[in-house]
Amino acid sequence: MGFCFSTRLLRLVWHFVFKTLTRVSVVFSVAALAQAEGVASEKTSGAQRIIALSPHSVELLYSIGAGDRIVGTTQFADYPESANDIPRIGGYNAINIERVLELKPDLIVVWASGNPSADLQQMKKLGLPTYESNPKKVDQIAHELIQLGKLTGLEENAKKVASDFLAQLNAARSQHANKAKVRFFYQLWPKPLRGIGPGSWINEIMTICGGENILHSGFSDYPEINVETVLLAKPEVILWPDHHGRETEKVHWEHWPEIPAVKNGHIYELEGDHMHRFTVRILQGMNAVCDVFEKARAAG
Amino acid sequence: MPQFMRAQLALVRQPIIITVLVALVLLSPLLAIAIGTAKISMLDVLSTYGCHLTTACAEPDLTQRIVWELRTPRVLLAFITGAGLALAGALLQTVTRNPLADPYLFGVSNGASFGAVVVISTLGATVGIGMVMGAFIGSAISVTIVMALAGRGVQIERMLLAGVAVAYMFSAATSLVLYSSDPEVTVNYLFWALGSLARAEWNQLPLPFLVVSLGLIVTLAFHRQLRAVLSGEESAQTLGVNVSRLRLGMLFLASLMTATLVAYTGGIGFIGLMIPHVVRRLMGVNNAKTLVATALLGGLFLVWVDVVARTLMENQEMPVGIITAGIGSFFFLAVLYRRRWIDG
Repeated sequence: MGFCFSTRLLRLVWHFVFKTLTRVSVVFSVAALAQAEGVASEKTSGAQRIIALSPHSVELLYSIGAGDRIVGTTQFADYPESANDIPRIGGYNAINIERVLELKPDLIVVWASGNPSADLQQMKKLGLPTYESNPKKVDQIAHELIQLGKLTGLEENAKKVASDFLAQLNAARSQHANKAKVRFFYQLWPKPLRGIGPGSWINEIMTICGGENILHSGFSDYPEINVETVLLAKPEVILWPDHHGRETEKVHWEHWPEIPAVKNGHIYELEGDHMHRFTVRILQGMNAVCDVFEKARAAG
Repeated sequence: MPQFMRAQLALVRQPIIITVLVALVLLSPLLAIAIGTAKISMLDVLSTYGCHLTTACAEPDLTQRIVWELRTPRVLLAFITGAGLALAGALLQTVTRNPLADPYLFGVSNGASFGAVVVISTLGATVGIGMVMGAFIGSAISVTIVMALAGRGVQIERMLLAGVAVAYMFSAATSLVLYSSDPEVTVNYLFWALGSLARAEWNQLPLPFLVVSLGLIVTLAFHRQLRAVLSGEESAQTLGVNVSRLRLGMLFLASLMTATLVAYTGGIGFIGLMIPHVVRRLMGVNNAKTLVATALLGGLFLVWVDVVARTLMENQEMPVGIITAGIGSFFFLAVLYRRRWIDG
């Protein structure tokens, strides 16, 4: 505890003296570092003690071969299997900053959408080397891989993984581009019934496979809707993610054979983690969706 | 205007108000059912009921199924919920002789929320009957604590203070459960807490209907005693009313109604506070008709709020709780603004 406190005190003094420096924020310097070509070769090893504050960044680090350098992470970072052994230093509701300092990280991969912003600000104020990973589009996963590659000195690996990823993505795109559109409804949660809007992450995967969202406009990306909307839109496919084995209430779609998806039995459960995480496993989710849409097309 | 004249006027006005309300209650559901995402006319609504009444509905078309299986139970649940919450508010305001009393002030709603969130996080689902049980146990605990602390003769001040403390206690417990659960539970709790009538189905209606009907019947049966309490504790006692027992019973009844409705529809606030005030201002005096009017107006209010919730945005629903509390708070501010001149 004493050690911890003195470290923190030192950091605060440091912060005071170099106030102007920190004001520019370390994110910029890390981003600059990442952007400057050749920096990685100067520091051949790259970051060795990484704290990854999101399940997706843990997965991305593993896929470029930096998984064993992760010294701390948050709840729910459960993939791959060995990620479960990484010490936890917080969850979506709070990050334990003192533990972060104790772990002496040389890189912290933060996630603005999933980490408490007050904790992120404090980490930046303390001068910790943060890098923000917050992909919003499927293609950005490749960009994230390369950035993480630069920061860890594993750029070659990362470039290979990223180009493989993009190649598969683009193959799927061109494969399904000219096929008949499949009208779908993605049921995010049964009761109250919620779907996905056109601006959402999942919608992009569906679009790659030639899907057409029945919720084409909306006030929120994850809107609450009523059964009637689905009845009138007559989707050809209804999909929902599993909820980590948790039982949920069911919408009794079987009562509504007026919906083509119900009449033809095109109702499918997908692996939630493959759909909702910003990692290369999104390809598995995408393939599952494309298969389902293919089946719907074959049935006419 | 002298006091007695005002009372006389109110008595003349009462039957008119009741008649108007009953007419609206008969008309509104038909209108409300005809409004929604699908284009459905009043004629469609009537033909659906015609075919269900004559049992000729072997093969209903999609429009008729939407009217019968989706919109009708939803409008009915809206009416039952609005009526029940308004009545519960009126009961609490009467037995505590406090115009601010509503299920939130006594920790009843917080207790119900806590019970519900425990069910959501442990069973992992917003299951109908489990939620009702959870919500009811939670609110029963809060009422028991409030009553235990009410002291001899059930003093109102102690009850209110205990109620506020219990409300905070339960909201802290709710926060604790949410804090230690995963984000999915938190999101589901949030959506539940915003209030929704979307889960309405025919087989979900009997329990809320029975509980609210029971509430109304018991309230009407005791309306003389309730009126006596309102005119003062001592005078009620001299009239032979057992004030503390009446208070206990009515509190229990109000929490039974609130817990049941909260479990089915989530957090629909402000109806219990606002509707009884509107009715008192309209009717002037308190009697059995006032209580009936409170239930009717509460039901009507929620039916129309739900129409707004369903139609405000294309392809999307607005959580009902946002609208009731939004309209409710504006209404209250408007009343305060007008009263400023009268009181000041």
